[in-house]
Amino acid sequence: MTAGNEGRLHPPADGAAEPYRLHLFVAGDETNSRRARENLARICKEYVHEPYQVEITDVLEDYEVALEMGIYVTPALLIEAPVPGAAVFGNLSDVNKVLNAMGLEESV
Amino acid sequence: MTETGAVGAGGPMPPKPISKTQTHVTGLDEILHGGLPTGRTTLVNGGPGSGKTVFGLEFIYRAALDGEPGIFISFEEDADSIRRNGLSLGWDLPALEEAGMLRILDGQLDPAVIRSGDFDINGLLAILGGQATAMGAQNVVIDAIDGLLRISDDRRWEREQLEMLHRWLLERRLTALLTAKAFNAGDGGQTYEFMEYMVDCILKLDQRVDGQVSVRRLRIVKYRGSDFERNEFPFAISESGIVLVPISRPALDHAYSPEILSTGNDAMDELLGGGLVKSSITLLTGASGTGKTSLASTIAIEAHRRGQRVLYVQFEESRPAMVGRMLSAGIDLRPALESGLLRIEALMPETLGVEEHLIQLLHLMREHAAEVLIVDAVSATVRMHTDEAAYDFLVRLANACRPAGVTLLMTNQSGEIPSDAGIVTMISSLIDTVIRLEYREEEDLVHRTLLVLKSRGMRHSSRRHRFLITDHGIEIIDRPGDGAAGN
Repeated sequence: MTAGNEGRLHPPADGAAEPYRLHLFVAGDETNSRRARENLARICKEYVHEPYQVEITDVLEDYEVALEMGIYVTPALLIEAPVPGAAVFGNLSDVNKVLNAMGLEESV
Repeated sequence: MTETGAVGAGGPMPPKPISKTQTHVTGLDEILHGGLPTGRTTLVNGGPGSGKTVFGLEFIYRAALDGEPGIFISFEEDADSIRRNGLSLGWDLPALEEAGMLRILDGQLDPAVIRSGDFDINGLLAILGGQATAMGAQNVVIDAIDGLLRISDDRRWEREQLEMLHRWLLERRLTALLTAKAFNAGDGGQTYEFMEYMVDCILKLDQRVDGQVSVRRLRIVKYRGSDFERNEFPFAISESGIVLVPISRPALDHAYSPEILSTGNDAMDELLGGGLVKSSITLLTGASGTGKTSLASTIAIEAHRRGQRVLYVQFEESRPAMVGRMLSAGIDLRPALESGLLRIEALMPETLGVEEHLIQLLHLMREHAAEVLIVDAVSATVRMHTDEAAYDFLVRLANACRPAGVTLLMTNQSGEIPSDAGIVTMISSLIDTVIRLEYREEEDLVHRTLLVLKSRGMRHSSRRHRFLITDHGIEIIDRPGDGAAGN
């Protein structure tokens, strides 16, 4: 996506916007997992104006990734980049918490 | 013609006993009457440091050694510390992991995690399910499940998650062992009482201080569909795992008539309601100079007279010193020694640690094929190391003797340890018979008394009896039948 960088991003050391790498873990189609997908899509659309990529892992299909990352709770969102990153548990219904974790603030 | 027949035409099947999975933990399968319920969930409950993790780990480790693959996950300790703990008990967990028989999963959660909306533990189920299928595992240990549930402050959520986990474990027919901190901790800790109704089997571990020694105990609280032993069982964590001491059932069972061994002193036998029970554990306790060694020596000589092999482990004096001292009290150990049936070994408690002493003692016991073992004085074990280690020593000694049918007699020098009661209280549940020797000086007279504090399953005297140490051994001067010195 294009950079509508309005000072919301933690500026990386070199000043260039590092793309967001978001990794969402869901458990099939159960309610919270479905909501998490929807909420993340909405958050990205409405608040993230920087480049980003989203990877979705269904732990029921691919437990090994969950095992490797220690994802015992779903849904879970790992913000893998920019560093230091963060982990958010839940269906992402509390948008502000997700934005905080991403180093973004809700625009007025 | 083909045979037509009764195949499958029998009556209704008899009720099927529930199938069980051995834990291979020393002494545990006996009191569980076979093991944990297969395909069902067992809860191990206890306070911090009560040994929950070791219990779970030993089960999964020994079952894997026995050819049953298993998964262990801890929400309290990381996988590497679990592996190190295993190693300190001599268990090579990485080797089993490499062989695909064991998988230790890292359950550490990021404490800085952010919460946004509802979540559940489907991730855990997916990981367990995927891993169990991949390695064909039937056994699963989830250590410190409360550590995972702590990510929420919502009690109702915790309960829902546990119920979901339990249902899932049942559906998958996994033999699961969950550990959790004690309920009713009174410290505002986690309370998962409802788990008691949910699971099929509950073991409670307890570590409490008796005297000045911390003592570990295990109790089976519940076992749906199975008989089990209801006592509290002392246990120790030895250098190779958990050792549980089964309390001898024959001695507690009144219908059973136990084999009684004479002490070699008619009056003493009378006080004890016949004598000492074979393969029981007796403690002879008293201050220095009360006549413990004299009485123990009398018992040794009598065992020899019956043709039994006796090992006498002496921690307090050398063999010549002991034999000489007994001789001057009219107790001649020499014929028994010369026959080879009695062996006296003097060991210095300070020279070796508890572990080495125990190994040496068990080795001597096997080498001599001892039927009677006398340890004089067991209070010396405290000098080997700490009270805790002394407790472990005694638990394991008792565990070695009882199943082997060895009659164990221990003397204890009271007053040697800070609290007089010390050893007696800490191992009282292990001991079948306690005899206390006392003396007091009255002007120029030494007044010795003997009291049988308890003797399981025996109709023993329950009052003090005066006795003398004469030049022909111990003489009880007011025998129960005498009517002297009433109650």
